[in-house]
Amino acid sequence: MSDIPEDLRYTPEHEYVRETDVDGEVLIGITDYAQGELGDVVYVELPAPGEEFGQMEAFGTVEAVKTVSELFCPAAGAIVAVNDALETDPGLVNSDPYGEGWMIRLELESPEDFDDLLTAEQYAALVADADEI
Amino acid sequence: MTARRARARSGGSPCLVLPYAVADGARNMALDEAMLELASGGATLLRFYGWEPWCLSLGRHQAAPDRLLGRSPDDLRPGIDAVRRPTGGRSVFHGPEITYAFACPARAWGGPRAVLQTVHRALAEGLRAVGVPLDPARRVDAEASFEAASPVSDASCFRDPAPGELTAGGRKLVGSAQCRRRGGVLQHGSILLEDRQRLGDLDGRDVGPEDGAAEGISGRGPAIGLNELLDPVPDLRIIVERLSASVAAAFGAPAAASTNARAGIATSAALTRLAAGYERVHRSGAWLRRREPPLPPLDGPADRF
Repeated sequence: MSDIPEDLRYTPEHEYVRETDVDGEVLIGITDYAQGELGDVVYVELPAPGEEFGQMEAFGTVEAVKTVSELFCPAAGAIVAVNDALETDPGLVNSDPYGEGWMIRLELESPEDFDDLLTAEQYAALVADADEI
Repeated sequence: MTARRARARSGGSPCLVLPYAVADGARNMALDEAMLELASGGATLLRFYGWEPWCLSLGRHQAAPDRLLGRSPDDLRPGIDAVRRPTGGRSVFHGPEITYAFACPARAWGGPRAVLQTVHRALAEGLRAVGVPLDPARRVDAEASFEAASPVSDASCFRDPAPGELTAGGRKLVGSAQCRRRGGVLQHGSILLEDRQRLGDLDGRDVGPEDGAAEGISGRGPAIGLNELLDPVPDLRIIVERLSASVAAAFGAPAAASTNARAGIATSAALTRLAAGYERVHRSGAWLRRREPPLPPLDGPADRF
């Protein structure tokens, strides 16, 4: 059973978005479900601070055992910071996806975009549907 | 035993088999990326192919070593091509082998993990049909598979089997890798006709059969080709036909092979047009040295074919 925290928002591509204590800035990573589907993460490719991305534009890639997956920006914005710890310890994505395994800190172009993302309940339904396969 | 058929779901169309072809590294990777793009628009595609000239491929995030970039006196031998794959994993030397590529929508056929398993089961069925004595499916040590996948390593992909990969006599016969992009999944892999993987071992260690004792696997190297398993090795066309039939059937291809072949030729033409942009990127050499994805500007929506 995947962990889906109530206080986060989600995308259908299995990224999560966490509000920070700075208005308009969010932390983004991949969900517990996504890391479980990928398996052991061996490499995370992230952008440089300052780069800008459109909504659902690929901002990086994550490599697990033999599989490379794109990472999608849940909302338009500019990169404020990236999690440098993943460079030396990509396994944090597996061990603590919602904590030390975060990937980018994004300044939203339109802070109201956060409200358009999936709620935990909606994301849970999406995951349940996927698990019926 | 028949390979279990995957369940089509969320837009997975029956598998279309494209004609076998031989090309160089840039062309082959461009065609695979074009397959991925068509798959993100709903297509399920399969092709088998060869390499001319022989080629070394790096994994998506694997660092290109000096000896591959002409900056070392220990350069790889002249006449061997090099390319970077869109998929993960480590270096593979593409010499005497049959290469496969399969692409489908990410949410079709049970999802990427199921696709990996279904393709391997179908390949196993096809290989057994031509007499290959494959090992039973086995669990692989998690630590070894993690090491096998690490893009930091310069070792060959064929040095260690990952979960689900096909082995014979404990040695790796088929190596595969996947990528997921824009709603599509691409999986490609190598079925060795001969083991020449030491030519692709970037750390300079020789992992060929002659030094296998150092590898501790039955006195041989960690990889194996069909030439060590079958005497004689069947004609390439026969092997490809068996493998195509098995994989296509597992992904819902119609029984009427001629219908499938006609559609495959039509899709090949679309694929060729779409591959042109990717081929420019791969042929430039910049993609080999860099880690950015080779995404050329699109002329239009991915599903225009």
